[in-house]
Amino acid sequence: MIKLNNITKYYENGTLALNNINLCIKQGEIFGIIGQSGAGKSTLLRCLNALEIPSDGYVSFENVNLSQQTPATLRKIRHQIGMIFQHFNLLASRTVFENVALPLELQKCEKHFIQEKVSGILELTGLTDKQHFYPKQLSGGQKQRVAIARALITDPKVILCDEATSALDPMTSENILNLLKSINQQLKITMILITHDFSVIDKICDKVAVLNQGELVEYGTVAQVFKNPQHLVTKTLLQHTAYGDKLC
Amino acid sequence: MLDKLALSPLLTASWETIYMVFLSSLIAIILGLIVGVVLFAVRPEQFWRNKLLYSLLSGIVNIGRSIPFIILLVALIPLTRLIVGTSIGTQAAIIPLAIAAIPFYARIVESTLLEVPAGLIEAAHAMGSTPIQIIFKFLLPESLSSLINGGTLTVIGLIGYSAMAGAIGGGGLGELAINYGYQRFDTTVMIETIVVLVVLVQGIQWLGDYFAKTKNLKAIVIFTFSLLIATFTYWGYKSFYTQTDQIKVGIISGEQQQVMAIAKKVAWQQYHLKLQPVIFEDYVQPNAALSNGDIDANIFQHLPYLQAQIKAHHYPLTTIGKTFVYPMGFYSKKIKSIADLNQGAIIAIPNDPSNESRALHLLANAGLIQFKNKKQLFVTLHDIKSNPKHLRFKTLQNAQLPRVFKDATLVALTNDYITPTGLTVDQALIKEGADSPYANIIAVRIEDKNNPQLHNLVKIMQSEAVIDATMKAYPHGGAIPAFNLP
Repeated sequence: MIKLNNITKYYENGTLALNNINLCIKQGEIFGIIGQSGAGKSTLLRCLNALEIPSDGYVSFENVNLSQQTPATLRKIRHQIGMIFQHFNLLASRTVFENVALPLELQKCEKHFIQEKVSGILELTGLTDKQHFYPKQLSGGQKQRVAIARALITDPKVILCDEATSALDPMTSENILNLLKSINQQLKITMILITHDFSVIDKICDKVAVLNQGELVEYGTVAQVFKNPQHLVTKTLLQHTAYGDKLC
Repeated sequence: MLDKLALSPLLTASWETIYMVFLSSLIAIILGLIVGVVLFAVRPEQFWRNKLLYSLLSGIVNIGRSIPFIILLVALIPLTRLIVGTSIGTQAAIIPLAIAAIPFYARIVESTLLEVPAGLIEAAHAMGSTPIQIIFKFLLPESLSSLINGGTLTVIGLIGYSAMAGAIGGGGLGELAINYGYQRFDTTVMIETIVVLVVLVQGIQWLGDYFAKTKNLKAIVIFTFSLLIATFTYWGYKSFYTQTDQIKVGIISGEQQQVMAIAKKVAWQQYHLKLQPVIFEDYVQPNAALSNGDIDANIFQHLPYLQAQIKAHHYPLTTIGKTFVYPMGFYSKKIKSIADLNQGAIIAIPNDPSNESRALHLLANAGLIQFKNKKQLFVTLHDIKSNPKHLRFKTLQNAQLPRVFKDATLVALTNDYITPTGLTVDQALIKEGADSPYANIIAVRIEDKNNPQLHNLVKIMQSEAVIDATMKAYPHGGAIPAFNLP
């Protein structure tokens, strides 16, 4: 479904962010990308919805080369790719309902349709009783639920999660991960998430890729990579986890 | 009918201020918002990134913000004339006020938008927003409170600027405070004006805070439209009363305003002519405004001054009648009559060329001195041929003259400097008469020389009612009609 072909990315100041990365993500998978901060995870994730365009190589989304599209086509493709963020990025001036409705407003959907659709998604994400609240009246976990609802509203094929649980406490984090997992199972939406936390990968991912200083150092099913880590970085990341303890 | 227009000066000035500040704020906020949004969007990290446009726009904004307002006011005269058709009056003040505030509000908008979290704009892109959607669905709603607060700041700033609008006859509270409070020491008017200004500023701040807190766009729009309607009603009302037979007459602030109020009544009652006095603060603007057509006549100067101005600026101006002589006189606290003047007495006269010449002519008419060339109008001490009493002349600054009565036998004073001496005009030992070449005149454009309405203006200014009013304003012979009495 999504293919990364020899992705190389230089920042404007000339430093190398990503070096020749090849990956293939299948429909319906939950795909984790893990790495320490500065490894290039964020940049890689933003190449997937063309917020960043690779300096070399290309991303293909359902066989469409994202590097060769006009801004208008890109906007249409982005309607099929939801995104959620570490800091939620909700609009403080809009209620929960209005925040979730926003992507449909951008697509100029009918009011009646929006009303119905948003109500359905709010129910799915357990936010119906909060729909008239403003973000500042919500807890972190509730805000992330709103962000997930907002990402789901356009019936996307893919959801990109940028450290979606890093700002949350462990309990809430678990809640959100369960929600993502159940969405993946119910709606068959592909999910790609980046994190620096192996427990996130362990809980919900099918496959994992390990990124270090812009290079892809390991790649496989979660079970393969965790049981038999090859690279020093992977081992370091695994320390102080249940897996790490077993390794020692 | 006219009485309806004659509201109290304070009320009129308050409305003029509200009107000027409202319209200029409206223009400044709309255009400032556009410039500010573009300024933000073309920044190197934003969606319309454009280095050249950003440097250009940013440069223009900085230039706009660094020019002192009073300079901008003058520099924009051609543009103002192009847009509102005149460079004087309340309407003309709106353009420079608006232009001064656009760059200010644009910077406020830019810095406000910079406060919007970058993540939010990224989310907008990820949702597939167009740039226009980013502006209207994300940036503006998210920063609405700050944008309104910035607007309040701009409006209150413009109230301060509007005080300077008096320089081009813009009216308003600031002009009232300066004319009466500052220049004429009328404390009551000054305090009243300041109280109104304080109330106005408080009110605007309160309203701005309320709008920023509730973010009630509907209320803002309704408020704006009601003020717009009030403005247009005022325009309609004004143009209804000023449509026909209106003559704009430039005068200098002060006693002349009382005289013109009477002249206005006479004009309406006897000639069905509407006089509109336009008040100036200095002696340069009235001739400039007359020659470019902003006013139809002016009454403030004597012929020698007009001739000098025509020579210097090539103004197409002429005179169609005289009004009054505000006589220069020689006063003394040592002698009772010119006959008592001693040999070698000290005579103090003004040191500026125009008044020096005026004083010497006065002495020549009294037979105390003689000039080499009797017909010469402009004379100096060097032109004196005979001085039989060996009078000793001292030339001093005008303001110094009232202070030298103990040392000089005769002191030449113009009208303005008599009051501090405790003397009155009728105590002058010698003074100018109705035939003085320094009589004030009515100046018009050469093309209007035969305009019957302007000749009616001459008749009005020479009418009994205006003479009475002038005598009252300048008591003890401070004004002498320079024309044949009716």
